[in-house]
Amino acid sequence: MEVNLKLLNNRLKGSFDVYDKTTTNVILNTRPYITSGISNSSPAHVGEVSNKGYEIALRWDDKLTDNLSYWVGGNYSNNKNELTGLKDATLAPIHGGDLSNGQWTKLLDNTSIGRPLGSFYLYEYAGFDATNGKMLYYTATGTKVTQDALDENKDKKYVGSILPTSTYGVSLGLNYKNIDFSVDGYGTSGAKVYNGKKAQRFTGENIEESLATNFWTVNNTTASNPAPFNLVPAASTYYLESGDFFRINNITLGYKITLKGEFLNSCRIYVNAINPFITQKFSGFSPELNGNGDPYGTQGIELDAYPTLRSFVIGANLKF
Amino acid sequence: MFALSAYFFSGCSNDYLDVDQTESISTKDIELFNNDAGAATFVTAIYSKFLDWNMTSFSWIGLSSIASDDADKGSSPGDTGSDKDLMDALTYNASTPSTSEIFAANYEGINRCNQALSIIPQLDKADPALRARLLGEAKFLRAFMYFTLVKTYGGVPIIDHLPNPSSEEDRVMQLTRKSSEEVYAYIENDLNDAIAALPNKSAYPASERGRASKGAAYALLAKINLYQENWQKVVDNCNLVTGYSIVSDYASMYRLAGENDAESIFEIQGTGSVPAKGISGYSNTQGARRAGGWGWGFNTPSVSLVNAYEEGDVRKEATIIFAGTTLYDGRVVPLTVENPRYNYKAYSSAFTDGWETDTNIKYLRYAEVLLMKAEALNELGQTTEAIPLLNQIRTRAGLANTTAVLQGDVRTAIWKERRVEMAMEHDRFFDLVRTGQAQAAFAVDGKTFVTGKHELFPLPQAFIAQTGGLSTQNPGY
Repeated sequence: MEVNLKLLNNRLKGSFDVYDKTTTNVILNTRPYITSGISNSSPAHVGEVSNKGYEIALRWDDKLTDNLSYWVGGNYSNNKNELTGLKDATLAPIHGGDLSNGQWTKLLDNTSIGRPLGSFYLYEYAGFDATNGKMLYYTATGTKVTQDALDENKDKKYVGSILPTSTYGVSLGLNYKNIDFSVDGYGTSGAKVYNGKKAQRFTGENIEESLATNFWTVNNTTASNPAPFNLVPAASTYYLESGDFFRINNITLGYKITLKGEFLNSCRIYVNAINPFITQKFSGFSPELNGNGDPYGTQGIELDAYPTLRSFVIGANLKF
Repeated sequence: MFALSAYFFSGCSNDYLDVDQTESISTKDIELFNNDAGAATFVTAIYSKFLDWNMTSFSWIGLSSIASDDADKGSSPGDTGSDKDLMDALTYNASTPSTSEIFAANYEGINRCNQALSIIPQLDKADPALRARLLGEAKFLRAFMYFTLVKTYGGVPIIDHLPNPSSEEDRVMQLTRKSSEEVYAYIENDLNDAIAALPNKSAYPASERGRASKGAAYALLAKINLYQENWQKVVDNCNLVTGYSIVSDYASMYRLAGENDAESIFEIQGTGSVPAKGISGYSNTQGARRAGGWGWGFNTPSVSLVNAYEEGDVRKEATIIFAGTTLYDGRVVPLTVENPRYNYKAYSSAFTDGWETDTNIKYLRYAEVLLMKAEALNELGQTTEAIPLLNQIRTRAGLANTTAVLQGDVRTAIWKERRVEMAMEHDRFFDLVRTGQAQAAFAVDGKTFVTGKHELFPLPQAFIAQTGGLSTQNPGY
């Protein structure tokens, strides 16, 4: 359903969409029945995925005088993604989100029904043992154990998805005589991201600064990080963080010089800041982690992601 | 990514997108197999399944031998062999790998039988006589695997043809347990077809003596009758197993020279030579462990088994490797090995520590045919005719004639003789359940056998989950 509106002499424009879309016949690898005697999985049209949500976009344009005009715009969308069914098929489980150290972080199998796609499936971190600094995890029964006592088949749980539930954007601009000014920003909320970089520390990888400066010792039993250890860390919620962020991705200020030369018609000089500000909860470089674009691949996982660059540009547009 | 693919595919379902895969040769193109050699490959594939790890090796050893009172887990105390400690203690459940693997492996074999039975009749350029024999072999092997399933799990789904993935009827067929009576009837049917199609063992060239023969089908049919206590049929079918005799030297049967000998009716064939093809890991998992050994040390003959041999029984030394002794080929097994006893019948002299060795498993021997016939005759009240058959087995073992005279005593004597004659040959657990001796025998071995539960192993939890209520788990699990 979609509603479009134009109000107040066309100064306010907007649209509102509500949707409830079910995609059927999603192709997934399924396992034949055990009694068929065939152990190879094969693709079949079995998945049903639901997307429900709404989108709102509003924009206010106004021209105060011949010399002054401005606009403010924004959009907001909310989406709930869910794997709703698999017919009667048994999926060949996908253990996705490989951390390249033997650990994986995402699961898609028959237990994933009712979860968003790209769901993380991890051990739940239970803090570290203050007496020795060892990381502890909850088992399925709720007791706290070290990673060697975990049961991969029982103790992992679904703990959120790489898919955001909300995305939003704002843009505003102003023209005054020969000066133009605009700002754009966007953000998401509801997504989880995995700071795989925080767990890699064998051979000169990037690590978090706090890991090197604030960790458990006998004299610092309340440190923010557990004691250093020499195991591949179990994939757990310790490394899972909120992916919420808001980024100003563009600020532009320009000035147009009108020329009457034979050679040059006009000239606009501008300064442009690309990605100047971001607010984020994530402790890694950037929560915008597209990875290889596969929800069961490296999407939402920071291992060696290159940080988003902040750039400042000064330039001129010339018209001949 | 998957959601995206669905967008693409939901819009266009034109036939020209359905291209045959070219990664491997499709059996759809049967013309490639339309000759004698091509037809034979479908049955070779079934025999080959018996060499697989999940079919005949570690899980099968755990389920049929370690779980019984003939053997203990063995190996070092800390090495569970993933679940062999549970198998030994009868504490396995529906998710224990050993119990699940045997189920899946036998259905993999049955699938190969159904492939052969479906495709071979279409190969009109292959010799008709050969095709008939191959179909008989496939039916024998399918019956053999259903017998393994029914004695292990009770009633199981009967897959009698290649299922069509989009057929609702076939889906129900694959997920619904049949009663054990229906499975036994199905096995009998297959064996009768096999009997009609198969030649005698002697009609095969020497290099193909391992193939299923008419005698093997009669012997297996007699064993099915035995499990159903259909005594007269046991006698009749045993009488039709002809052309075999018991060999004089018991120990020789478990060495290379004794493979497919005059006593052998059906065995699983391993060849250790290049290219090595044997039962994957069978010898190695059971080989002596630690200094002076060559294997993992599992499935060690129990004290209960050692005590079952009478004084002077030659079968004891032929079945059990005792630490600190010298083997027939001169190999010294020092006292430094982990366990006091190992399974001699899994030992390969030429490929001792090989993963695939020349060790065979004797699944049907003429000695068992004699014992089955003796048991059936005794049950029919013909005890005096049963005793000489029992004595034939005892004489070969170096023992005096049995002193049992009364029907009940002879019955016990035959059961006991079966145990020591066929020890470590994967028969004991099922034989205990069949004869109702299980609870008492396990108590002697220090294990608790729960009546009403342990007669059957649990079906895999993964299978029960797939059935969505069409099948239920065995009681107690």
